[in-house]
Amino acid sequence: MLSSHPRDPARWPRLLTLLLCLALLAPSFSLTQFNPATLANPDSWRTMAGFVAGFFPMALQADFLRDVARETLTTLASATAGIALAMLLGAPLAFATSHALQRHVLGGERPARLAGWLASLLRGLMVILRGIPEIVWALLLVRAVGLGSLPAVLAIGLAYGGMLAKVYAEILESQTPGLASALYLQGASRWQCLLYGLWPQALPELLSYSVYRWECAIRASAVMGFVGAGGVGQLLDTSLKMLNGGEVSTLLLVFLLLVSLSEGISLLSRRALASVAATRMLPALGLLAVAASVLWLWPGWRDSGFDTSAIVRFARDFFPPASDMLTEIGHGIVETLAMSGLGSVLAFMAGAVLAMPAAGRFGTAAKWLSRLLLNVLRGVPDLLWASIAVLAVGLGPAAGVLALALHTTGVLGRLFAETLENADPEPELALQQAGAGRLLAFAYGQLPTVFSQWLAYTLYRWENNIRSATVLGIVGAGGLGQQLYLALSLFQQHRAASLIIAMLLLSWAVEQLSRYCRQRMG
Amino acid sequence: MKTLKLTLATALLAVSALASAEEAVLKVSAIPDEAPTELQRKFAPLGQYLEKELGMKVQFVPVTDYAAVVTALNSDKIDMAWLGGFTFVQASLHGKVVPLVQREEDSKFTAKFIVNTAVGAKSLQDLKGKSFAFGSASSTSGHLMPRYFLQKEGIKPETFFKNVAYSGAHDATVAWVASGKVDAGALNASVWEKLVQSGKVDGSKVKLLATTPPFYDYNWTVRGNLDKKLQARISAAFLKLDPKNPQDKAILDLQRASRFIPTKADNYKGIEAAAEAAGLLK
Amino acid sequence: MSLRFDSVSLQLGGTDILRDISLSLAQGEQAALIGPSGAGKTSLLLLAATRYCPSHGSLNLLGDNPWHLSPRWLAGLRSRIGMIYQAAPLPARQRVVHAVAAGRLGQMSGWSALRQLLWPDDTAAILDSLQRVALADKLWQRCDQLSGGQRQRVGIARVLHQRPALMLADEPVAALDPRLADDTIRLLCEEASTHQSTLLVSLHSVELALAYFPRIIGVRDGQIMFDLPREQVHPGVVSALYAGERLREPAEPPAPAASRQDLRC
Repeated sequence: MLSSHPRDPARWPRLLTLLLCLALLAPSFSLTQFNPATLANPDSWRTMAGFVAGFFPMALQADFLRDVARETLTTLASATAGIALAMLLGAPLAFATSHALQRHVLGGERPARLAGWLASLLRGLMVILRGIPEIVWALLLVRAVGLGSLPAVLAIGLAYGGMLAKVYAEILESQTPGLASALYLQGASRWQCLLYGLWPQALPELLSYSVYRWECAIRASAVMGFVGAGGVGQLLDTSLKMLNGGEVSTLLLVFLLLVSLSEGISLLSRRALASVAATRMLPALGLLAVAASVLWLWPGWRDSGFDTSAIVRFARDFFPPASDMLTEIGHGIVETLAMSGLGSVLAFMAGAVLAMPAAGRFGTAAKWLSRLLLNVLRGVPDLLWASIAVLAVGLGPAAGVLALALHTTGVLGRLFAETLENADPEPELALQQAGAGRLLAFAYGQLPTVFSQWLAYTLYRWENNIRSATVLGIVGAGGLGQQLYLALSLFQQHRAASLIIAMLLLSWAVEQLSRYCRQRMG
Repeated sequence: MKTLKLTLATALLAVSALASAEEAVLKVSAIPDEAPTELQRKFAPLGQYLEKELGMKVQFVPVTDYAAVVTALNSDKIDMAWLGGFTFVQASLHGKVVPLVQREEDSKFTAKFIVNTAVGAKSLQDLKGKSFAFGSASSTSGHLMPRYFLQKEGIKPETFFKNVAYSGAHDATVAWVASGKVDAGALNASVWEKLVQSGKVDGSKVKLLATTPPFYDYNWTVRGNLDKKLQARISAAFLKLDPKNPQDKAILDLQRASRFIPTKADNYKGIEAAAEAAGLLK
Repeated sequence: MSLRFDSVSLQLGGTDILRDISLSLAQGEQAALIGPSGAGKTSLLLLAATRYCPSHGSLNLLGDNPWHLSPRWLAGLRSRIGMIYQAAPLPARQRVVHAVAAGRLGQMSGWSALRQLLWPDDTAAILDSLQRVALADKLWQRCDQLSGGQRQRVGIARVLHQRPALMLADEPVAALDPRLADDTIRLLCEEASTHQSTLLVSLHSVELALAYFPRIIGVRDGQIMFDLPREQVHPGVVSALYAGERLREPAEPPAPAASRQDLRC
């Protein structure tokens, strides 16, 4: 009995996993040309210090600030109008595809083949809509309908429309199933089932998710200027290209304020959704905001024009996709994966370190400072970090790694801190009681609980980062995006088409893989 | 669902209807080979001059993307554009456009290769394994011709350099090389000379490495279906600018032109061939 | 003297938990704490475990006043005090081997502790401790795969592994069935005698207390009602201690979950 298991039976699997991770990670460094040694090099610190010093003083000239104010409003308005469009697109798609409203689910009828095909077709459309990142939609639409805020609105509308459709459908499916079915069996139509059976209970969640997406749309809309779709991003793009640090820092500040403002509004309105009055007020306020946004954007749209035949012609140019670029695409995909993997690992480490003070382990001052830092890291989207990182560490995938690491550190650090705060403190306290040092008490008492959650969050973010990494190239940070931007600049639409298909497949494959993994992990 | 679709359709229709309402305005744009604010500053006096000469409103549409200018011209969203040689070739391949005038300098335009002094390169071959920045991918003097020239020297940028990047604009390329973000770059000779003359280039950080043979570059191009009489009047207005007249001289100086001369599509055959050879016209 | 309380009182959040407690245990002595729920047994043990600092009075543990010690010495003192909790404080996903090894954290160097987390090498001693609570076959299992009773015994194994000079136990057998409870208390007493450790155990079951402990301390309303040798604990004394007790249910706090929304965008 005593010697039945003298050795850890899990030691080889564990060692192998560790070695496998290292083996996968090691080539990522060379693939992305990301060299941690440069970070320790005093020379590059000096360059960095010079770079940061260039950000001060902030640009505060009156006419510049006027431009900033105007473009900030445009950004807000584009996001709002874009979300409205996404809801108009997403709601009918959700209605048509949600399993909760299929006849055979409601009434046990035999599924109609035609309706089934139609639903699958629409689901495929949804995959395409949300599989192409919004910034790529914006890039394409800028070419198709011209510059300005219109492509930004359409891009948010299309990409988020596909996303909202999927989530709306899932929300409908997660409601208590009996209610709609009972109505259907009384002879109600599917529409009536939706309105009387599902709508009342699903409404707060639907609204809450839409508001949350609006918050995301603001971030998206703010960076669309990088591809010429207006807003603060466009000013930022110009300032970055001209290495005007003062303007960049002003814009970054505005950007962070905008993001935290929208976060605040979104949090408040989602909290308010608990009351019945708010579920009525919120749509009314939303409509008002949309009307105001369209009014604000209208003059720009009138000038830019909207020529449907040009769009059709533009779209036709993409066919057939080029078939002779498999090696280039393969290289782009590998680079994208390496960037996202390395970025996520770095973010995991930095996030874990920052989560400690952020969870209040080193006093109040450290807590608020680290939270502020995490919020700044998180508030700035990865595309924006990439455009700054390109200046700091030069062009190429290394900048992408840094950008993903910075943004993801903010996201993960916050989540990690939350898990720490929510975890049961007893085990750790008991160990401290038994004389263990703080670090050891943490390692033995807290880490086992939180570590698996941290890992799950990191894997989830990695999935996200793969998608983000495909587009970072638009600002010069390597990956598929760089090839796409180049192809579109040179009017090589066939090549662009192949690259977009590759992006779609990558995003779809990652989604399926992660779903499979999560089902297996239970 | 029907109401939703109807609303959407009406909204789209309304947008397109409003957009197609014609106004007597000449919409002009330019490829963003320099900072947008700089472009607007350069264009202001020329715009006023054209308004006076043509007797119609002239509106400058700022654009931040080369390819978008080409698309806008091809889809009639702008009437006239300041194009580079390569963008002109692209535009003429995607629709009907007419080149009107070019600067005298544009018939023997060159591109410059610059390098950060810290690299210590003496020739293009010394740049092996360094990072390199072109301007915009759609630029003639910032990308196409330097690439064509490199190719003739037996250099394939993607494999020869460690990293190939696109800064987006000529002045951005200089800033990048000066700051060491990239080791070397290529840009338009005229922007280079302007920056050198105005003292904006730090000679201790950036130096000239090579110059390409001359080629045809920039021109003013109008969309093919623009009224022929208007086309002629625009040409005449440009050609009338006299360097001896101080008022005209100011306008020409801003355009960095000694004077404007007529041009024709055939002038750009060489550019097209170079683009073909460099594999940029797939 | 292994443990001495000199008119110690404890206030938490403005309410009096313990009042004027004086108590001492000699090295190697074994005593049981009994009393109704909420009497202050747990708080008394936590005072002895240096979780709380007394509001008044002075405290002496293994020859030192813990609250006059530097952090380093305090940690050293703490590593000689072992506490068995009502519910074993084990992280859900930790494996039994690490949960038991954690008993000796106060005696290990930081590096070897971290290394053992990856590559446990002290398995013989750990296995020995586990064997004494009849859980040797669970060495490589995860704590959340064990039953409540097994988890409790892992908690006990941890303290056995620690080999403390002062062993405290707060209702250590509340979650165990009667036979196992009996065995466990006997084990604790035997371990304490073998290593000459002082043992102070709070118990819900008066029978168990009377069966194994020579000294019984009755606590009620934050005060010591009696402190008598086993022989002098009459049924009348016990029923006076528990008179008018009402059952109280502890409230479970709801576990918060991170929403999926935070993960996207």
